[in-house]
Amino acid sequence: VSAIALGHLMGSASADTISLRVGSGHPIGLLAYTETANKWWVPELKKRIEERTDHTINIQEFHAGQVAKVTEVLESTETGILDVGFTSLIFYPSKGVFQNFTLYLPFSSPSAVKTVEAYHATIEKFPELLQEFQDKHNQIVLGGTCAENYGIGTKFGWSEFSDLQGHKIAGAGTNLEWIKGATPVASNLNEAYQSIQSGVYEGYLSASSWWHMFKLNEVAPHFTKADFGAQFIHYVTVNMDVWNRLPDDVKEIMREVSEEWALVTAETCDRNDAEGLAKLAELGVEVKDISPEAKKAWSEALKDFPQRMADDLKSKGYPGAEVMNFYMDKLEELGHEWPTRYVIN
Amino acid sequence: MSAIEVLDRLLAIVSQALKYLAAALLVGVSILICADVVMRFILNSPILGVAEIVANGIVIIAFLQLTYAVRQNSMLKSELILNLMGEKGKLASDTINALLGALLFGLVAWASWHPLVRSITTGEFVGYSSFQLPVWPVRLVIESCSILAIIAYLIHAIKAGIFGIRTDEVSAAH
Amino acid sequence: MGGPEFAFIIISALIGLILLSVPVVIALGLCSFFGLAYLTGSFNVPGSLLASTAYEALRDYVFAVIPLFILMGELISRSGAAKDLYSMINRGLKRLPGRLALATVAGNAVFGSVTGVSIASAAAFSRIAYPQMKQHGYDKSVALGCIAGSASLGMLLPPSVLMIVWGVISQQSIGKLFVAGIIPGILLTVMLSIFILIYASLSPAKFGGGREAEAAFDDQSSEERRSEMIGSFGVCALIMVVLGGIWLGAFTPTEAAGVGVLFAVVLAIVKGVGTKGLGEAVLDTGRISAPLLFLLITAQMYSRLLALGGINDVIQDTLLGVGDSPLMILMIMIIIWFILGMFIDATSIILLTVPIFAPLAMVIGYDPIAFAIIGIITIEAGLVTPPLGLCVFTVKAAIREPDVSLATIFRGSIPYWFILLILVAIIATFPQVATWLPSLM
Ligand code: NA
Ligand code: NA
Repeated sequence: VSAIALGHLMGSASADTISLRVGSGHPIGLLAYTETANKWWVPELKKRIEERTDHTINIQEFHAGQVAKVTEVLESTETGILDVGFTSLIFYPSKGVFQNFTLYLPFSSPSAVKTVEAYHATIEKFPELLQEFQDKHNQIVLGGTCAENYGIGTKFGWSEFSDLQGHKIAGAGTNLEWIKGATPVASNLNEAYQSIQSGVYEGYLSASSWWHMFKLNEVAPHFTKADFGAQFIHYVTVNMDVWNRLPDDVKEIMREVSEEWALVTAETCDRNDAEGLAKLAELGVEVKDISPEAKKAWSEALKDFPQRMADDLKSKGYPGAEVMNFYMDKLEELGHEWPTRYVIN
Repeated sequence: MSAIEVLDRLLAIVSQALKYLAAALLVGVSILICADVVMRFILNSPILGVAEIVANGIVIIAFLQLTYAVRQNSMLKSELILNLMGEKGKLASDTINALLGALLFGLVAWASWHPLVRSITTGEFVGYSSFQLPVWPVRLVIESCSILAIIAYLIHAIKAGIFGIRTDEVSAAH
Repeated sequence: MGGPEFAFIIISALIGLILLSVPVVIALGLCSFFGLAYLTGSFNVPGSLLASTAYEALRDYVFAVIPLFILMGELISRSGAAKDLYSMINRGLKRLPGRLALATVAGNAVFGSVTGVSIASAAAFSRIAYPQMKQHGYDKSVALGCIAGSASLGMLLPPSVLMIVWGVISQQSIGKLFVAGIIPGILLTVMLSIFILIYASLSPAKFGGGREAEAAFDDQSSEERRSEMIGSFGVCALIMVVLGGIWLGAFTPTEAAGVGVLFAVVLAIVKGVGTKGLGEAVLDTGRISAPLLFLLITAQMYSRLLALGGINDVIQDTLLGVGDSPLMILMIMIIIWFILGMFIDATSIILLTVPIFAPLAMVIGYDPIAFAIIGIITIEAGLVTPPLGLCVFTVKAAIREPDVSLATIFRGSIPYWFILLILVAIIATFPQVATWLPSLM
């Protein structure tokens, strides 16, 4: 019945053609979530819709901020500039303050697959995590997943936590909170090469795969697998008005593909992490694991941070402490050992 | 004419004031950048949040300068055909351009209203937990300066379309 | 639904409005709104595009360099230091034809190693070099074309915002791209200089002829000479502080703009500029930068409309249609860049085309680094072509002379546009020009 309305709304030429504008703020291939968006989500959705329904689907993709920058994807999906948005919620410290809670728990699991499992369990217990997208941002979450595990690359070699003292280490956004012992400097990966080369700063919190992608191995030949953890910050969402007008069979396939996408992306993250380390070693970078002592000392230095964020969430009306404690327990169940089991109440 | 004249004078004062404010902000940005550089390079303790302030400051600076730019007619245009027109043609062109300008900033103001209200009601910020910069000042500047631009364009349109007065670039004030 | 027809219509609409003397900012903004309204059948979607782009387009640290460098140029100009330096060059190199234009090219090369945004160079040199060239009797079109044309050095010599965007999108090393720009940048400096030498020898009258200028300076008092020395050395010291600071790791090139401004303030005070003069410099900066910043905002709106309207598919189909001759494909790419360069800003062009072009260029055998440099130079050439040439617009906004039309500046820029295309041909033929230095890294 709504076929004609659908065609009109989405600007398609015929009634059985569904047209979707899909976009993200990152270039394809830089991060796992946009790579899988382009190489897996889009083709898989097309394939299944064509195999299992009578509809034809036409998808236009806009990555790298062609239509919406990383800081605009959520709003663009809300207002309908994009029908489907691949959002990196780390760029929404305000709107994503609740959903981004894994960022407040550094030294979580390095495994993206386990992180996704633990977060999905948390969503089941606290559905308000995703409900907010619908209530406040006019969109439905189809799936959510991780970014690559964070480590730290440096110009200088170090082994003890105290070795970092006096060195300037760069990060962006909430990651800056993790930089203890060293001096935090706010920057971005685009400026990292020249800044590290000239000595504006001497290291950067980064995934191993970004380190060689930005060729930072050329200026900073030490990479420490510090295992700050994979962070659950990437979502695929659909504009609610568009969603309400989609045929049920298409909705079902979109949900199904997006749920699988979450795991496909997590596996890609874990593979990128391992391959990134291998690639760095191959390029002559000194790659090593952080020592248990250094990790312990670092996480001890951070132990007030989760409580501070839980208090902040509480003041905003969110069950921060409950969610973070549940998540920490869940990761432990999955075999993760927290160097410091943060006490949050 | 007198009501328009009064409004025009008022707008002149407001746009001047905003221009001074933008100038002060620009100097502030440059001092802040230098302070950050000195703190980081010499004292090894950078001022976190400078990047956020500079990035948001530049949007504010641009919009604060808008009314003045509109009043001065300094938005760039091709004069190719304009130069071939007679005085009446030029007046017509001025009137139409001013109305189109009012339309554009009217659309910007209309569309920016909801994000402004929401940035205030939800206490939206940029930055991160230890450095939070509220979003509403930038949104408010965009909204109010767009409205001022509409008024400035409408004054241009009335002056050109009804009273036959052109506001040439530069000759207007200095 | 978008497609070739839609692209054709919105581009025609834009050209029509611009030709009808509608201010470019308004034409870009309204085309974006109504184009997207037509495309989506809604007013809310284009409305939110306007609101979002107005808020986000400039919200980046790197855009701060535009007003900051304009302010620096304004201060150096008002202090008289620029005049001092140009006078010294004019007297010291008496026999050299076109010496002030040459100084402008050299100055742009130095300045280009500090700034990564061409329009910042164009604005600064409009304030620094133009008054001097005018005073020494240069033809306005020649002087302004030289300023707009040589500003392209800013994007070719590292640092460069365009290279950063290119590197991120095509996953090339930004560091390598920076290094790859050095030899082409020097080559371009040499080519521009040779052109000026020949042009000035052939028509000395357009380059001031040198006669009056010489006479005026022969009977300077020692007092005046001393002040002139201070000014000239002041400019050189400022350049050394800024370049040295970047090299030492004291600050990033983006931050250099802020540091440069503060040193220019010191220089202006030393040269006796009072608080009134300083205030005027800051206020003039606002007047010059606002129209440019709004051009950047609305050009981004329009670029987003082009993307949503399906320009990607149009470009892809065009490329598929030309067969598989690498040279043919490169030519088509250059033509597409050139056409886009007529309407939108350089960063938006890279966002629209590089995701399609870069992988294709690799497939047909172009070195990705050389290809990036070719692309950046071609896109730079678009900054001096009508109807929307950002560098030309910048110069126009900065000089504030109603009798100098955009057409005058565009005309003066034609040779520079041509030289940029020759450089593209050189690198396409000898990619080593771009790839040799990075291969040593
Ligand atoms: Na440069
Ligand atoms: Na152009």
